[in-house]
Amino acid sequence: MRKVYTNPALCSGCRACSVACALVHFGIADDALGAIQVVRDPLQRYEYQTVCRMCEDPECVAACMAAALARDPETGRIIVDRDRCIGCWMCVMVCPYGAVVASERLGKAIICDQCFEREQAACVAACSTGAIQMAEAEDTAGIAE
Amino acid sequence: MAGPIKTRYTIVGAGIAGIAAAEAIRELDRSGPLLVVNGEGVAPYCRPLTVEVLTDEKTPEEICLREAQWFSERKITIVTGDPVAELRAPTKQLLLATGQVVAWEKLLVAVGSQPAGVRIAGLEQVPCFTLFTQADAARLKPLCKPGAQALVVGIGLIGLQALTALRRRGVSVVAVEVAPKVLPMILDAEAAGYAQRRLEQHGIDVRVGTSVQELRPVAGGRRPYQALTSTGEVLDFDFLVMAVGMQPNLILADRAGIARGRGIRVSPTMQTSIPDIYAAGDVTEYPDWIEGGEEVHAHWVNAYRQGRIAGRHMAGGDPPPCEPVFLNSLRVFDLPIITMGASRRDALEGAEAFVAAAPARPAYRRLLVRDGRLIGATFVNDVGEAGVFQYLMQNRINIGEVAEELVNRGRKAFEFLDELHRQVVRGDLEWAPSMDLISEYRKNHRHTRWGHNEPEK
Repeated sequence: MRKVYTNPALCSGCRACSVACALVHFGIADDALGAIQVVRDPLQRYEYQTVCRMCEDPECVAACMAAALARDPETGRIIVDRDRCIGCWMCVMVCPYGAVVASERLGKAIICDQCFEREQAACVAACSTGAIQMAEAEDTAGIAE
Repeated sequence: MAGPIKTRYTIVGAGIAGIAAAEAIRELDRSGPLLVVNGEGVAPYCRPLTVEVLTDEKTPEEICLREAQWFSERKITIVTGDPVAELRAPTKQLLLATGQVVAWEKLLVAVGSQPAGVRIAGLEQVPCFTLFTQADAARLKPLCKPGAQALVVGIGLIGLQALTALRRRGVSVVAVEVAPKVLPMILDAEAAGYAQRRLEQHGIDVRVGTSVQELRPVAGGRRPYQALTSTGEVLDFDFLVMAVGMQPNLILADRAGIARGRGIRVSPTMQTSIPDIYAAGDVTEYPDWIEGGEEVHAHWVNAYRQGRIAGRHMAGGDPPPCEPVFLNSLRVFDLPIITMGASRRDALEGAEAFVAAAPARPAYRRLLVRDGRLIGATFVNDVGEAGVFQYLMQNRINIGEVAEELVNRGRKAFEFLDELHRQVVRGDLEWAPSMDLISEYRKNHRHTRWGHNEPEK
């Protein structure tokens, strides 16, 4: 299954990924609506992307009391049913990666869908430094080690 | 009456703990006869969402936990609307209200909790409601008309849900809380101040440090009923909603002789004092590693986790132990709040509080740290990172040196955690077993990083 991978060392903190994500999913150029978020601190000089890690046994799905979240066993992505989501932020409370976007604008959770319907993920296409890549999860096992 | 239903596993209660247990059992044992006894007359549903039914934001069907098909697909039998009358531990049987007998080999008691009450003089003379079950919501609904005046007794989690729903339906609300702050079991005084201001901005008449002394009907008054408070005031109202907290449903356990304190006592694998009887969810109490003593950690996430552990153990598995902490995710109108651990404590012996507040926004973060371990955390209107802190707390990771930075966002919590994981991957730091509660973390972590090809040491 393919997955979005991030490298903070290459991230410039421009948030083009968040904006691109918001544009293709909501048609709004609001970086706060991006399923990938960049946390940055210009003084401390760090940039850091947070995006869904597609856990096999996702805590967010377990915590969802509105049954709005589900894991698609085929693609591994977490599906958010926004009609069911009530914005209780239980998923936010348990995601150890801080990767659930609690959108106050929507009142709903936003989680990366890995752009499964597109050939190229919007964030990957928008990134000018190559800090975001898309790859098959199996292919990358052990790279970090 | 037909003969007894013979089962390998029987689960009493169809809340999330019971459902999670059934799910976990079926992961290990696909065919062992499994029965769920649902005392309520409706399909299993999500209790915390009952208020959404009251405000018409959800239909009863939409808050259903699992549909009939889910049970049939998994070969799980469910009995609906037939509560357990008696638990016979020595003969391993249950007697249901209709007289049906159920034989079990392993039993899970997951009967949850119910609204607690307080004695108030004159209570029987006024219309008094609770808001917990679907039946409660149906009873309350006809009264929720614009212009009506409600008195909500207790501003805890249930009271907050009730008054929010009432306000959304146009009802005027006066709410009293005996503690000196709102949400006293969840928030420290400063965070409670943020919550109280938000309640007041939405038109709730909040009275803290106040209890109701007496209730009475009045003829010819502005409203048909009156409450006299401990502060000497008179509050007029049309109906009262009692929301003074929850208490575990212990009748079954008591009659069966299961050991309990405030809740049923359970081992880390959710076993009770009687062999082959398990308990999970809001009905249990559990050693509190943060503040000592036994605590009822009534929360959706804990109930789910406990249910899974109980189910796996019942089916012969060897699940990791459960160490629940207080968790809360709530919303004071449009103000989201997440808390965990000893967040309600204004001060705790040996613990240091780190606070970052932005009253104008408003936003507030507070970390309680003892011996380097995070033992309490509060996030008001700034909840994005809460899950990372939940992980830091559950895994008892030492954050003593970085707590100040973390609370002020000088350092991102996940960046800190990530660095820690990289140290483990490199072999610079030993991975303590206690750090592996979320067992997928390491795997996901490893599979997700591709840029950290650090030089070999």
